[in-house]
Amino acid sequence: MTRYLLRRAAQGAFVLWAAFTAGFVILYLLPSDPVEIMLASTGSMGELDPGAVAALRAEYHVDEPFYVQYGIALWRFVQGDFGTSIPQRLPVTELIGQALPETAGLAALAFVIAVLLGGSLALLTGYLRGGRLRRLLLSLPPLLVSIPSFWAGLLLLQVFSFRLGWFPAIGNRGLASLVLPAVTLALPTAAIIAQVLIKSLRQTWDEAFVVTATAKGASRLRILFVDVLRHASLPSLTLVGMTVGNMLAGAIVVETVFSRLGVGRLVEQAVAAQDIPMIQGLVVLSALVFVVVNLVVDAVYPLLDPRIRPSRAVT
Amino acid sequence: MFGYPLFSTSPVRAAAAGAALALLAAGCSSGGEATAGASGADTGAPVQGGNLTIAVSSFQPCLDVSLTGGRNSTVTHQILDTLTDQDPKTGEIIPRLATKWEVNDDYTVFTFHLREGVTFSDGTPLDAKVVADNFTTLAKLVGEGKTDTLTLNALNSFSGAEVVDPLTVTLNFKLPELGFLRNASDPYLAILSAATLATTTEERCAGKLVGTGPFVFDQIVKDKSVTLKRRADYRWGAEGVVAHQGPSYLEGIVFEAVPESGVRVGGLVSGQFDISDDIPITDLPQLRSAGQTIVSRVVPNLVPGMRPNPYSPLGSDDAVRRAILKGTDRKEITETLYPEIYKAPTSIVSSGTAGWKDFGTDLAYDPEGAKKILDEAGWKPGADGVREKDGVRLEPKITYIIGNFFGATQQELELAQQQLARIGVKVEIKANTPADNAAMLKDISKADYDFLTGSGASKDIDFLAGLFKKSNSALLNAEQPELEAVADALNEAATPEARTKAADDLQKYVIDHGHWIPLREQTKVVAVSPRVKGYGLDTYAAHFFHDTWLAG
Repeated sequence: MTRYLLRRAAQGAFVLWAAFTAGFVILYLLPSDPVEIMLASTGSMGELDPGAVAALRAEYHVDEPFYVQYGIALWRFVQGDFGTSIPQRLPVTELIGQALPETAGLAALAFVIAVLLGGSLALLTGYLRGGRLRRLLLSLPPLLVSIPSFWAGLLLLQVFSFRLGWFPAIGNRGLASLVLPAVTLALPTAAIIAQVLIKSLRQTWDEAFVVTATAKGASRLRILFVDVLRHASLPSLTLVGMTVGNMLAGAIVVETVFSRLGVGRLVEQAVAAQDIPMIQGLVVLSALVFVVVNLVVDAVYPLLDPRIRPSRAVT
Repeated sequence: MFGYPLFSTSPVRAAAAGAALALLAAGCSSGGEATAGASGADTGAPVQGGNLTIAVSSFQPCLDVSLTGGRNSTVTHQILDTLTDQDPKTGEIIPRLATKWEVNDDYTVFTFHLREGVTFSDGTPLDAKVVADNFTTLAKLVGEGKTDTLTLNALNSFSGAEVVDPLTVTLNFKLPELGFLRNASDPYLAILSAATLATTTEERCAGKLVGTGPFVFDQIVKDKSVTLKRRADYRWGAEGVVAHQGPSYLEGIVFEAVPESGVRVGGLVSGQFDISDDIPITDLPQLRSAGQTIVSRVVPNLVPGMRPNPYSPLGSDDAVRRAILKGTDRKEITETLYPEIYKAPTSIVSSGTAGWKDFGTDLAYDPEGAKKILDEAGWKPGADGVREKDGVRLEPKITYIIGNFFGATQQELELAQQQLARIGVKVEIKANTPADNAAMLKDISKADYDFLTGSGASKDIDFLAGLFKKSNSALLNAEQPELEAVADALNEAATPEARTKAADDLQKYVIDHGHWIPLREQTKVVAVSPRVKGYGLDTYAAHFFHDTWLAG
């Protein structure tokens, strides 16, 4: 088991390096240089001072050839240093460090809501045998997944903040301000979890052991929770790794709509300003999140399904 | 998907009552509309205290506008004072931290007499020494290339400051600086405390700023919110600008960054904000019907418009530029897209800019005149109606920056495209990201565009000289001797009369030859809750809170 995890960790490190390098190459290939963007992005017709441009270029090493820039960046990356955000003039790690707890809190709550919402939706449809309610529930996941979170967020704001006044419209202000953004962020993820779980529940109902359980006289509810769910949850678990990544992407929209500071807003600002050190840091951060979540998922699989336990010498 | 118009600005509408408001309102006349009833009028005596929450679209990356941002100051305005101010009604330069001044005949030596008894919020007094240090420090930062372009333009010939006595300071320049008294009223030349001057530019950007203004920073959460609280001992507001002396009525002001305009609108109507900044014109009817007050003012600047690429065959063709200028119906653009508040531009600078002259007739829509110019220049309509000459089709490429309300927007260009099609010009609109635009401006001689769009901050017409000299990056040393000469004339003008004439000549020349093709004026539009009284926009179309109070 330890060796299995070590191998997974080594693979994770490779993924991080690959993400860093791919990010660097793509950003390097962009035609403009971030220093000029920083000085000219307002669209103002003012003149750029060549001295200022040259000094900033040297400061951010954008005047060096590709391999030198890559070398400098890689050496810093290994040390956990992503340099300084160009427009913000502050260390990237510091800025990400400040934003991360906000997004982590948002994503965690959204994740809980998504699992509860998606899970109960799937279980309810799995419990019902047919009828209008079941058909209605079955149509919900495709609907939820197709609503743009931008729109869903504004709709929730309109109803629950502007009209009913239950929640504040903006900001990082404790749990009350976390509810609407978390629900917005949870909706598409809940839909995906529900969709996959519904399908695997349906398949599992046809398995022989379910028939056996039924023959033994177990109630439908008991079979659903005790036998079917555990078996059917594996595909959904695989999804979890991906949904956490989706949450990061969704945070870009949700944090903007709800005026929250967080990693999503950093991404939005960094991309708009072509803030290369910041984008690099964020690319590696998302890769890191993926790697960690997948490691956790890999570690959990065997607990749910004995068949996946890493081969130990079979005696 | 989300372009946030970050800025805005312009003619105020204002209250008939309170003196400050009345003054501001009158100032609005420069922008045009002076709707009555802005935040204002008179429901009794002003109430002391209370915190006002204002939703803004964003904060500039650096809070010190002398370093970056120039005049786009949202919060810094509130905590700093300048040596001079501008009369909201007449535009005349009036005393603020300086009670009077003398200028030599060459406009190279400015002696300021400072107000007595003014203190910075850290308790230190305002004296000649600190003012002199402000300018020498800023000039040093200019030399290091660490300041905003506006600061650079204002101080590029600064040669030194002398302390004459504790309350008298002399600033020396190498060249005549006819615009300096006005520049001295700009926030980027605001006076900072000695302690602030000793800090790094990074610290200044982060908000480590101490001034003499009516408010001080209380809390700054980067990119999120800025909280100000009032100074209890403030009593040096500029006469003629403030409606009352003494501390501001508001106890504090909270600026919240709310990037999504729909949330700024909804949050205001539902009472979560007292003021919402940067309001899209399409939301105005909804806000009005919900009982909110709209305050607006024309931003002083080089108006949003199109600038030819002197290296492209079409951009360098005088006839093409003139025809496009005449064939663009600015009135239709304004009336279609901004059915209220906005006005069609009447020069290359907005009507709120010092030195502006009305060239409205030269900018009138004249499709027949435009066709005639093209006919005479040999651009003949082809089979599909698009003109051509020597095998070249008249298909100019015009770029804009996505989501940037400072320049032309996509909708504005699409309307211009339809208008120009009627005179046989087929416009191709190219959307640029800020990054694309920066790449394009790296070397315009190789860039694939005929016209770019943008605007330029400029409260004073002086700024135009730098914009139309070949040293500007959007001209890249292209030889246009006549344009260079009219720009130089403005730069070198040594008397106010010569300067006015040079400014008029430059505007006229640029319009006659289409070196800047105006599209609209830029207007700041702010929505204000009815409980907010005494709020207005100043001559820079920035928030003015000193006389603001909250009713009930």
